[in-house]
Amino acid sequence: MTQGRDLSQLESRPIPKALPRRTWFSILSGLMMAPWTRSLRGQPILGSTTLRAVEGRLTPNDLFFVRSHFPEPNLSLQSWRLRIEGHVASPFEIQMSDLLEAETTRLEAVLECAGFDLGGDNLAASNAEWEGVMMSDLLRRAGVSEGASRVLLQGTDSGSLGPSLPSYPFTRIIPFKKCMAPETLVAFKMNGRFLPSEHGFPARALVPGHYATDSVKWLSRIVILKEEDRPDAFYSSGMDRLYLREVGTPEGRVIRSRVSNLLIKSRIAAPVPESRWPPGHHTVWGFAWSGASEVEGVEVSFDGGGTWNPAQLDSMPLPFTWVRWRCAWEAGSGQHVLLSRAWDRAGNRQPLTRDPNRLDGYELNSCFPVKCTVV
Amino acid sequence: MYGGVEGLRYGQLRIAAVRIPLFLLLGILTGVGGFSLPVRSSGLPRIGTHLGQDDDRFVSVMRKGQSAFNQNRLREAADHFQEAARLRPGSADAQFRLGIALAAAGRFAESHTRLKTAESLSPSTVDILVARAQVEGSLQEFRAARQTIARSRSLVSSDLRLDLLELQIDLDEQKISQGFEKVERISRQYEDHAPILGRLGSVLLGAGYYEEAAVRLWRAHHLDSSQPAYALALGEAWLQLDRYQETCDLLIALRPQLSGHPGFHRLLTRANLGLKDYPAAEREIQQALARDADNLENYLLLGSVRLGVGRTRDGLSILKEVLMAGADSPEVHDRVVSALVEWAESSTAQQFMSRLLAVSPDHPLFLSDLVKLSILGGDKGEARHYLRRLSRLNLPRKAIHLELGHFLFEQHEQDLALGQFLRGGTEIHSAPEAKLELAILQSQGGAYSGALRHALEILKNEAVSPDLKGAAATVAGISYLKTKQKQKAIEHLQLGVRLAPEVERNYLVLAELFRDGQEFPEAIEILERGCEAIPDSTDLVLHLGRTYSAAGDNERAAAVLRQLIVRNPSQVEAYLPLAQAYESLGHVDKAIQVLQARIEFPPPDVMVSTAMAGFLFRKGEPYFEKALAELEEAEQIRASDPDIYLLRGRVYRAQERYEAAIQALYRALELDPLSQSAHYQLALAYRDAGRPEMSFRRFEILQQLTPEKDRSRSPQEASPVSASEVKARSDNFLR
Repeated sequence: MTQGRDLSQLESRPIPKALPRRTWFSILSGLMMAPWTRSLRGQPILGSTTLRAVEGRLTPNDLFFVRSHFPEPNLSLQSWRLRIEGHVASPFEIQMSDLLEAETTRLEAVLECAGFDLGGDNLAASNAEWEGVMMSDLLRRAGVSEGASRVLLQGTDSGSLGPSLPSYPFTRIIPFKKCMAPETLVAFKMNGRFLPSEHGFPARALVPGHYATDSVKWLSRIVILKEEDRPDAFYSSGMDRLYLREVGTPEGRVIRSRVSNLLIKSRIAAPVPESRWPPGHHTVWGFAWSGASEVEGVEVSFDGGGTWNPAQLDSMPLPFTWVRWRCAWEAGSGQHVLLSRAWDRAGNRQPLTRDPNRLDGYELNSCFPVKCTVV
Repeated sequence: MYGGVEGLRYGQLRIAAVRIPLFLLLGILTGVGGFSLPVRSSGLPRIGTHLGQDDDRFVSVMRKGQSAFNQNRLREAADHFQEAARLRPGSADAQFRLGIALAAAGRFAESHTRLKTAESLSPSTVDILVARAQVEGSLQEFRAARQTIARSRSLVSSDLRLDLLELQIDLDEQKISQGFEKVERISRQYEDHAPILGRLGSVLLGAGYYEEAAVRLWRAHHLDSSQPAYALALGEAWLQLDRYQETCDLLIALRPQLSGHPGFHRLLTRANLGLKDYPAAEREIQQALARDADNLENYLLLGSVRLGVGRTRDGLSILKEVLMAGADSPEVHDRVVSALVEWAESSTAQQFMSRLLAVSPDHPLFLSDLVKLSILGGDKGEARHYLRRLSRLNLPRKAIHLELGHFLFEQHEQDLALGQFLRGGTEIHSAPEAKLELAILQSQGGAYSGALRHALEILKNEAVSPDLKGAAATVAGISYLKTKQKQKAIEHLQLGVRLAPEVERNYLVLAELFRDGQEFPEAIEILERGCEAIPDSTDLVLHLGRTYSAAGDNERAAAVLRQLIVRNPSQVEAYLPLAQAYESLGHVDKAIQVLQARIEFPPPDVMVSTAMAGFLFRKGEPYFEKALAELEEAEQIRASDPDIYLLRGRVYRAQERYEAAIQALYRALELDPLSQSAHYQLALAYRDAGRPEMSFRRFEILQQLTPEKDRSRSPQEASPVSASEVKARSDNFLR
């Protein structure tokens, strides 16, 4: 058992209600909430998932959390095309048949929204088995030029990020090296089925180990960039100012950097917050994941971080996916604050509290306290 | 027989039915099939007539072309006719024969150009118009074909060839009922007219309706046994139906009459190959070769015979020659691949084809053959490789992709099949079967909007047969169901039942829909209809029994399930619902007997052991230990089943072993934390153990549990279950 920190630090919600120094960029990210909550074809596109409903490791497709920036495009297997271009020797276009005939890779990967967490067991993180073609195969076929350092991924969905901003397709830029990694896919299947339309049908990028925003849905273009390239779709649209980590310095400056790697996190699925339990034997369980490496261990505190108990992992931890864990709890009467925290093989540990210098609302990986009463 | 042959053969038949009406083409226009035409058109000059002395070269080239054509050396024939057409650009005959040779090689677009030229040179020649209509049919340009037939009718109002062509177009367009009305009309009108019945049989044979063809050909043969063509065609139909012995008997009886006819010896060779009588097959094919040494078909069969007797190298060498000689004929390819798969090891066949590909790199038919062989040999990676090579050719005609798509669909290679159908492009719109298969693949993969679009297109197409529409209605129904449009799902599944009453799935899905909505009378009605329409379906009876039970009619449930087990004792799924029906009727001993009978059959089922334990538990205290022993058995089968521990907890509680009961129930909760029954039993166990506070708290937990272990996108909206509701449910569970 290890000693924890003072419980009082855990009382605040993980997302601060008011940011101390709101910048234009964080206002922009606030505006982003508007399109997220819009209804498309009569269906809400803001959908999270309750962890309790996940049996085994995989989140069923209809329980998988949904986040979209712009209205869902209407695509079909026949009409979909993906163009690979930019600094390449031979730009080309592929269609669905090309993906179906290619060698495919299947892997489990967690996707987590970089900036949305309702707390408790209700959050925007899910895990699925994905199938697709390695992005590196497509890039190699195109013949990437010397000096390529980044890759722009563009979706078919488009819109404006704010009232004064022009309309552009959704785009992300990720490092070329990550695109060449074997886990990065152009995915077209999710848990053995074609992607549901809200998850990017017929094909999306899958960038395991990164926050889900980089796994661009309804993928239509892959553009190889050099360091000096500044494509309009990313820079003029305002996309470059989204998903930025903002850290305030003691001197009053704000240091901004791009959010990408999925941070180590664990979450309690049961019990749920504010529940009442009888004294006796209970099982606390949940999930843990990390973008940097395999989860190495999870521990659980039943007293708000005073003491910690090792949790049992239900399966061998694998890269990019989550692991289910459980911990036996002999509950005595009284108020309890349950916490879980995980660490990975790369040495990353889940923080107990949010960094007070963070001014943005992303990378919400600090421990979430679950208060329950045993009477 | 090798597992993949049926698929290949079916693919072949489809080609014959939809793409290459070669049999009819050759039969009608050249007499190769053995039928002479009842009405000869007047316009087509015979080779050598109306020609001057200075046309010796032209005549010679034409004769060479005809000779090559008769020997099925189609590329050579086409080259000669091409040369003839160059020598005499105004010769309708040269253009016509070139068109026929190209069509026979499957080069329909080129053939069509030649036949159009021939028609412009000799507009009143009915033979040319018939050939043109035939080729237009092969190109699936059915409207154009019908217009060409109309022009022919303006020249000759009565020509049975035109009736037969129209019939074939009806069948190709899947206007099955319209086509078979014609078949019936012609059959009735000419019921004692052997030549017409013979030709009708040949059309049906070419369209792949072998049973129907055999009936007409048998009648024709019966009416005129002196005409060998009827017997030969009948033999062909029977061979397609794998009726090898009957074919042998028929032909051997006709040996004195037909001996010496190469077609006769070929059929006997095939029949003997089917019967695996290789010495007899060798004798017959040698006879055919002695009389027709240049016929590719003879060598194809000789290769098969050699492979059959184990002379693999010899067989492969012969087949290689056949393939090289008939490199442009899709039919030759399919036949060779069929022979290779049937008689040689698939890997040997693949090596053989790969060597051929080295000679003719990127030959689309070789690549297509290699895809098939790779799949049949279980090497999906290789298949992908050849598919990619094929796709790089970017073929203007997409039919090869549709044909491969169908093959892959039959082989359950869903993604690869889907890829090929997508490559079929716009051609898929004129191929309703391929479109249906595409819709099925999309539906299976979860791409419901695409599946729905294609299925609805098929339903709107008036030319499509009811069978196909029935299947499309099923796909539409399931797609609507998956997209949560229940009413439309019901409408389409009911349409599916009407159009294709023999499709089991429609009844099952519809019944499930009704059952889920607690609409038991409707579910029962549809399943009863299904059982009537498909009396052999065990699934329908099984579901009917379960639905009777769900509706509370355990008497009828027990009756149908008992009947099902009597009829088919290995139907293991029927035992448990039958036992449950008996138990509900109060016949616990009978229920136990049924489960004891079930245990005789593998695989062991944890639910059976748990149910057995439950029945023993209900019999009272003397059986508690037996119930616990059954639960031990169940634990051996699947230790992670929470129901085992839940029941164990109940038994222990009944035995007043409260601490053991609490322990077992906690184990059940570990495996299923949301089990309301386990929480409820735990509450009772605590109560009986004299710990009312713990019992009360457990009821409080029950109150917090949501009714379903389902996600809630808005958890705060999930309505909690009241303790009384929980108790009522748990009481129901306890009965």
